[in-house]
Amino acid sequence: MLRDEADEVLMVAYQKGDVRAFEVLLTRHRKPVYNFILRFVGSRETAEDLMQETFLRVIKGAEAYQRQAKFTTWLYTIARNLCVDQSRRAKHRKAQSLDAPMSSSADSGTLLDVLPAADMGSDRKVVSRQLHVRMHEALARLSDEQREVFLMREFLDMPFKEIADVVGVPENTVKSRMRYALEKLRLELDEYKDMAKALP
Amino acid sequence: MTDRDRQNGPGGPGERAGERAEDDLLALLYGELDGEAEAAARARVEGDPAAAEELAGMERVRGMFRDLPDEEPPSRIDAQLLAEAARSVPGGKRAAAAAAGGEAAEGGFWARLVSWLQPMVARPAFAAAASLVLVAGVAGVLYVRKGAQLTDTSAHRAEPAADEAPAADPPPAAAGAAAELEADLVDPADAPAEGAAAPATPAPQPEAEPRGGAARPGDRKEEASARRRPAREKAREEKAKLRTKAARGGAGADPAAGKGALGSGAVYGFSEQSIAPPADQDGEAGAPARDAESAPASPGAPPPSAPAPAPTVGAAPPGQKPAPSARDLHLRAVDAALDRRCGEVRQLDRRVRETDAAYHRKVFLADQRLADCLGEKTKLPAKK
Repeated sequence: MLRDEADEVLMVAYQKGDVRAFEVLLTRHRKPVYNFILRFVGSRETAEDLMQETFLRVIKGAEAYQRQAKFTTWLYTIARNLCVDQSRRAKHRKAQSLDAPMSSSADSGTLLDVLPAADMGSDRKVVSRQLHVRMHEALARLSDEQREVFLMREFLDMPFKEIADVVGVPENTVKSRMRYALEKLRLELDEYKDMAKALP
Repeated sequence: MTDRDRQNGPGGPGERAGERAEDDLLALLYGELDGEAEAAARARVEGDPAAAEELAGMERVRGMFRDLPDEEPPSRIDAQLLAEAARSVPGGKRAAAAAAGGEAAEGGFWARLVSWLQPMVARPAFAAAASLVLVAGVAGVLYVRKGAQLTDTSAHRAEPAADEAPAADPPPAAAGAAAELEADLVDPADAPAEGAAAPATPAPQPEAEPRGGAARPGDRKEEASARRRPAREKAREEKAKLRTKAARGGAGADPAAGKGALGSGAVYGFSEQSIAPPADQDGEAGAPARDAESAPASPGAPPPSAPAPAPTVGAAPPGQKPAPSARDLHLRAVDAALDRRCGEVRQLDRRVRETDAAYHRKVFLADQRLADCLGEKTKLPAKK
């Protein structure tokens, strides 16, 4: 049964021409990859493009894939490199304005639409949404190095060793970046900790 | 101080030890420590309030982000990626893929069909080219068939009266008219080999006219198209059509049947021998005699060359051979014009005028195919 196979087995099957193996891989990794990219770049449109590009590169590079390599390491190396390139390009553009499309947690509208309003305090959904906006803002304020490590460890549940392989730095460097990321986020979100406790 | 500063900084032994302790704390937070190291880290946290506070702060942050919902990527991306994956299967090892699926290997019809179509799916350009060829082929067939049907339809539409009552009972006179028509149209070189059949209905419209359904003298597009064809080839085509109709004999008695017969015969190029006569045509239409001379053998049929008097179109007096209609004569004139027999065209011009002056004025003189021959004539004072 293809669905139970390891990523590496599926990749080898796709190398041999089994398109269904790739389909299983895609189904398994599409959502985490998309959310990793989305949280890294903060824009749905860009995240869609980069996710597509990530898997296209997997397709194009499939022939050269070595079974010894861990598939997720390879996959997230591609995704991470695309995000870093995108981030570098974005730094040349002017800073985000309040009217610009907001980060991923908001379902619609701009950042202005979700700024706190006087009559919204009692609405738990709004509070939750507001908190999520703040969290995304805090994420966005991390450096790329800290953010990528945090996202991989926190959302992809990737061990520090594997993150080190993806990022291409020693493991203790990864841990150091992670510590700083956590400390910065704690400071950014400390004022919302009570709000977070109030949420279910 | 950033982590980078820290990496690049001097980093004395004490600092390194502190970092290691913090790393262990982090590893403890994420459950990456094994038994002994984990126990040591927990002992440190319990004995060090600062470490405990740091760990609690990190756990709080983790707790907040744990609730951050994931978003679903758009499914259209999946479709595009799967299409691309199928297109770019590594190494072209599709056979292996089929074997893995166990479908093509079993040789089932569906598996074989899929394996045949797979190259097309994988290569859109190939599929597009194949589709284009298919569409062009179908369009070509439809064009040819439609053209033949229109030719026949317009022939009936142009002169419905000729298709109906008088022609419904063509017998001997029809054979004579057919013979005359045939004799006029037949190339002298071909004459002995031509069949002696008798169209009771008018000949089909020249090719330039029928597409509009009725005669359209001013249709320059059609005329230009007709002119582009080699005259000889066109003349032969028209002769073939007329012969087909003539061989069919009395097709006007049953317009529907006639249409079908002409349509298929004209399009698929039935030879004259292959067109069998209808049973009620007195054996004349499809008479086995295959030369023009055999046609007069039918009772009451005049020699082919004998021109009939010119009554009005489609109205032959009882007992008298119906004269060729203005349209028949027109067609013959076209044929002659295409063969550059301008003398004959001018004779036919006179006959058409005598037969049906209105037709002559509105249709015949407007036919650009006759212009070359009639152009000379129109300069004559008599024509003015």
